[in-house]
Amino acid sequence: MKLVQAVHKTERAKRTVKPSEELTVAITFRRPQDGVGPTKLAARMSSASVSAMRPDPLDMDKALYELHRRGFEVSERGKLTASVRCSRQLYEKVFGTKLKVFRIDQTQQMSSQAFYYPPAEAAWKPDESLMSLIDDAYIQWPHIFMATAKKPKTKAAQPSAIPPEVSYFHLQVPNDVPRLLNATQVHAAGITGKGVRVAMIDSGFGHSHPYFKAHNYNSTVVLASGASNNKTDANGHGTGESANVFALAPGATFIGIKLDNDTNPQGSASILEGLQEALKHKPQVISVSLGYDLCEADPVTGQRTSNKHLTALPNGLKALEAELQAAVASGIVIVFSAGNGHVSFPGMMPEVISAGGAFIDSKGNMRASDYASAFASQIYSGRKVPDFCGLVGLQPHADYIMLPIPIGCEIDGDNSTHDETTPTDGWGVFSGTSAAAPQLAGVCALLLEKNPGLTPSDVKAVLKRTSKDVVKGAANSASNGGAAGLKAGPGEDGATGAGLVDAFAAFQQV
Amino acid sequence: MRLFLGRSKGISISNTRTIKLQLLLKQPWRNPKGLDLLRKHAHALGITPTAEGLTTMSGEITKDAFETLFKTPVHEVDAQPPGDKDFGRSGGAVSGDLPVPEALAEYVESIAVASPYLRL
Repeated sequence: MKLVQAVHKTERAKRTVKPSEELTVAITFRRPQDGVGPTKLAARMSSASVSAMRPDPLDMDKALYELHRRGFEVSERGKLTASVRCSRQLYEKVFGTKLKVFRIDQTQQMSSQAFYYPPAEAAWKPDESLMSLIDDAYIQWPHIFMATAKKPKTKAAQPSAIPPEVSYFHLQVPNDVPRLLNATQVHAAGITGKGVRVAMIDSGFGHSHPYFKAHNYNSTVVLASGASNNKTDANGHGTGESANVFALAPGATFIGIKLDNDTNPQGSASILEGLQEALKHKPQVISVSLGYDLCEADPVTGQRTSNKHLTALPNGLKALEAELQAAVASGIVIVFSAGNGHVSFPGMMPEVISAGGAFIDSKGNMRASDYASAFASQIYSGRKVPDFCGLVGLQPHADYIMLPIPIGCEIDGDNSTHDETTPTDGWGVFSGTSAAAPQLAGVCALLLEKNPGLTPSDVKAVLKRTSKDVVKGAANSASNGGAAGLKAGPGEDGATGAGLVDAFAAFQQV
Repeated sequence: MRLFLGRSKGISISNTRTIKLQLLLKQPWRNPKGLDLLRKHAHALGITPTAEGLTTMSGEITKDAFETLFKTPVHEVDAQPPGDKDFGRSGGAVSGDLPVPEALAEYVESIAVASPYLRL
């Protein structure tokens, strides 16, 4: 049957007599239980049986990463398949074959009138290591247009679920971050934070990014008073840093509290309004990568006028302080960033977990991050910041963790000037103690899944006594009143507190 | 106090623009009854409640009503894009310490403008 009546050679046909050198390839994957993929299954699949063919998302990640590494561009990803693009030469090389031009009836309204495809007699010697990860890779035939399009519809640009490559050492989510915080063993024990309610208060959460979808993370985004549009994140901070929570606690029930108003930044919610909204959702853990820098400063411009720490909490922050104290007293574990050279509040409050930074290099050497804050609070006597650390990069920009962000958001553009990503690829390499707080919040969720009876002080105590000692490096001098950054050393120290969190060691003690 | 990375001067706010306020309840009133009473009295002063927690209430007030009530200036500050040490600053307003209005004095320990914050 002809789907479109076309008795003459179409305009498109005239334009597409030469086959495209770029191929669109459908990739199918193997199911985890026996390694069989849909193209090798003897029985015909049905809507009832297709779910049994669903591959492990992590295996898909691995396969797509390997394809990407070989030069394939991942264009779309579904639950069972992915689409990739490549040149004819690359396809021939990777799959050990020789393609031939095939031509189609030119009276048909096809997307192309000629295409490359392996003839029946062609060799087929694919890269074995790649084939161990995928089921098959079929070049897609040109499709028939069921009707003449009046006007091409443009689809909003979508980032890839696979991060771009950069030339320097960095960490990837979701695998590297839990591995270095020793949470992989906790996950292997079946603990993923399942059922634990983790609220994160931040700029917004663009969780329609294919990265979050590919990993099937459970996320709800609500608006604090004044915020707008729960689907967007014009800054990108909340979206990217939230990937740290999911990397540590992929099974947690994530509640994103968006503060930003995309069209009227002055109308954005305050941290207090975000906290008040979060409390409505009965969270067990709250993660906040925001704060105030409590040094002497111009009251209007906010510019530091000296590195001298304030010795009393400004009245304007007392309501937030009281609300946080009450929240912790009600049993909620609250994690704040220690700051990136800031004298950070509420990160300095004794009731919260103050998340500092440790850096691990490509050889596994660990040291204090010189980007992260460390200081003795002049407001809360005896309080030293941080309590312990998550993974944070080094100065000047702390470009350390490849994180998914909305395409074209502020961080996508700004970071591209130094992190080797592009301004519109939907990925950025960044960290800061903004990354440490959600990492630690994720670890807290793991502990609370195992033992829901833990109090906030129990959680802080167990993480403190089980952290790995960081003995080298120094913290950011900007947080230390203009003196040199506090140094790390054996035992608890000013730079990293108790050290880098060890999720498995803590898990064994609760 | 450095509440944000200041790369812009404070500018005046249009009279109809709203200012975000944070109200801390006095100890005996940190309960649903206290919040009910605060909501009622705050509303009478032109403060529209926006959210509440265990010990606090957030609200909004127009610049006109703010200046009538507190007799002190308030400055708008712009949101800032990401910088070297942070990932940007929220927009909002700043002012000096505010007196607690007489009508709220029984219930409220302190009242303040919600200042812009940094993304760390």
